[in-house]
Amino acid sequence: MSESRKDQLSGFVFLAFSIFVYAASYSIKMTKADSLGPQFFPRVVSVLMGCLALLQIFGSTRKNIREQKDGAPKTEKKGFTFNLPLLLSIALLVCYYLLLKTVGFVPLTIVYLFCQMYLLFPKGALKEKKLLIISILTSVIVPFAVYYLFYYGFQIFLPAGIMG
Amino acid sequence: MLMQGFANLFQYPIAILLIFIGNLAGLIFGAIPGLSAFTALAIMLPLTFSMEPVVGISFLMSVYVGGVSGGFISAILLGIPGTPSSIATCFDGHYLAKEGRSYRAMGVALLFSFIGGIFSAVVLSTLAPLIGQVALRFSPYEYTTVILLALTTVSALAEGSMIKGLLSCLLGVSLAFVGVDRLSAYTRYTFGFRNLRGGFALVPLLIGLFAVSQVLTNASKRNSITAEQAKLQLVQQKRMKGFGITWKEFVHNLKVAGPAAIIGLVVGILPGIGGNVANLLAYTFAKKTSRHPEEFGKGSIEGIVAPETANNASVGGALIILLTLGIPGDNATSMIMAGFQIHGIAPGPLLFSSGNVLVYAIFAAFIIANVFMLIEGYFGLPVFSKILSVRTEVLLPVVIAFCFVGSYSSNNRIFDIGVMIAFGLLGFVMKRYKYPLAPMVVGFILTPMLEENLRRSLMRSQGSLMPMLQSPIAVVFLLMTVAMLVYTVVSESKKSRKGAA
Repeated sequence: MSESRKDQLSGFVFLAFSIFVYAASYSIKMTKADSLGPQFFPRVVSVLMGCLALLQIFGSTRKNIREQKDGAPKTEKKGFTFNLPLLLSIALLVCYYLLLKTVGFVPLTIVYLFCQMYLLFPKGALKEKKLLIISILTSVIVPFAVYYLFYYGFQIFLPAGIMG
Repeated sequence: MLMQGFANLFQYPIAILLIFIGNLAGLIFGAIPGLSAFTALAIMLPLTFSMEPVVGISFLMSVYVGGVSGGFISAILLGIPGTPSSIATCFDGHYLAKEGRSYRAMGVALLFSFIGGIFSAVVLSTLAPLIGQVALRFSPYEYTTVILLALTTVSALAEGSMIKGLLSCLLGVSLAFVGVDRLSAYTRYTFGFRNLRGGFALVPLLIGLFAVSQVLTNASKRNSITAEQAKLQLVQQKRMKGFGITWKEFVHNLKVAGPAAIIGLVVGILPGIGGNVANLLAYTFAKKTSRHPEEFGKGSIEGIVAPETANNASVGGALIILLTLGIPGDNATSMIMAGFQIHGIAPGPLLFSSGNVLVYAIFAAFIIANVFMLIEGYFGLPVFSKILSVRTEVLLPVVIAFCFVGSYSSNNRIFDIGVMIAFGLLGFVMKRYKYPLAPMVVGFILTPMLEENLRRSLMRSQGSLMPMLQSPIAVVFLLMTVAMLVYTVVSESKKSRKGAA
């Protein structure tokens, strides 16, 4: 996607968001405590945001048309490719959130750390023994250290899960 | 008063130790490319939960100072800025390193980081109380206008177009609506979720936007790097005694450092831009005014002095605005703001009301942190080059693990980890679409203050905006806001016309 296309798209997203904010302001209870009330400010902001989003759409569309007129080399169409490391990282984070209460901080963080490292290292880098050992050691030691540091040092109790 | 601050701080020997440790940690984080002062603060924040306010905030301050300084180490040794605040340091610093003279470059960078830091500390501790006294007398009218000015500045100066900056800012503003309205006590935009009644917490929002989004960005680039490219090359370096420059050179370079320090300070005060802009701006200025501009880019010492003085001077500038008005200018100062909030303290003019010793203790901590930075850096130089071989791929997940702890423990609820992840995704998408993140954060933080003050003003005046125009200070702020908008629109339309031609 070219830059101006991206700008156009994000403009529409902001426009939709501003409409949403405005619409949702109707469900705020009105008070007479002050002349403006709790609805006023969100409405002003949403209207401003909507106007700016329109400007953004307008500007990027004009730019887009100009680019096409100039016969700018069309960005070759790449088929939509899944960025696997990215999607897996997101999935990993979401799983962490969902499982934290049941599994507990230490075991879950060990798994998280190792998987996330695997997803960040360039392909094949972990075949190197030294890096693999470092990754595993860090993944195991850090969660234990953090858990006990906060437990004894700061009296902050992280979810214990299956360890508790 | 400053002496009192020192005395107050020295009551806690642990504080001095923590400033030492925090500074060192900051230096190390700053040195590692991909990690920054912000990341260091994100990790350290949960550690301060159970500390005394003075101790905790001094600790965060030292981490900030170290984090901004550490960037020069990798900038010089690897030619990769360790933090965005050291981009310009690469130009001449790395040139010297390729010739095996990195110790000279690092010595100079360290020395002038210290000079910049101390300069801004002195200005901070003399100017901030004065500004604080003025700000104490601000009525809601003046407060409303100064926040408007801050929001406009941050949106206009952030990278990318102004429209994008403003949109990002307004997004932050609307996110701040979620939760209980402070004036009427009704909930807004919670959609029936109990957990949202308190609004989004600042810590998970910040950590998500900046730290989690970075992991996602790095992961998304994974397949475009091969294992060989990721390996780093270091040239054998010559050892040096002292800081690698003579007394005469030092005095000569003070002339370069002077303007650079002022550039840094002013840039630091403006919300939205910080060390990175100060660094580049000071470099360009030094090059233009130098007698030997041809040496720039070829290992000029002046080319290291200027940017390194400026980025450390910007720290003091940013703190002036944070402490006196409660306005954070960038992600790192927002994190310090979160540190204040955790201890139930609101940065702002009230810090300067009589009898408040905390603020002077913070000044003292800031000065001590700069001194420690010089000492630690001096003895640490030989070691720092080894730190750079630590892999970011290992460290970044560890940072996230600390972020989980930080988000969870700020309110003891797992829900905040979800908030952090959600904002991580948002931050990632916004970066992809080239929207600056700083305006959003500043908008989020300042909205409650803005709305409260605006509505208070209108309650006072029974709905009329006229009294606002009768306050001279408020009018000045409003005029500056308009000037900022006009200036940005004009310079942007000039740029786009140039682009079209």
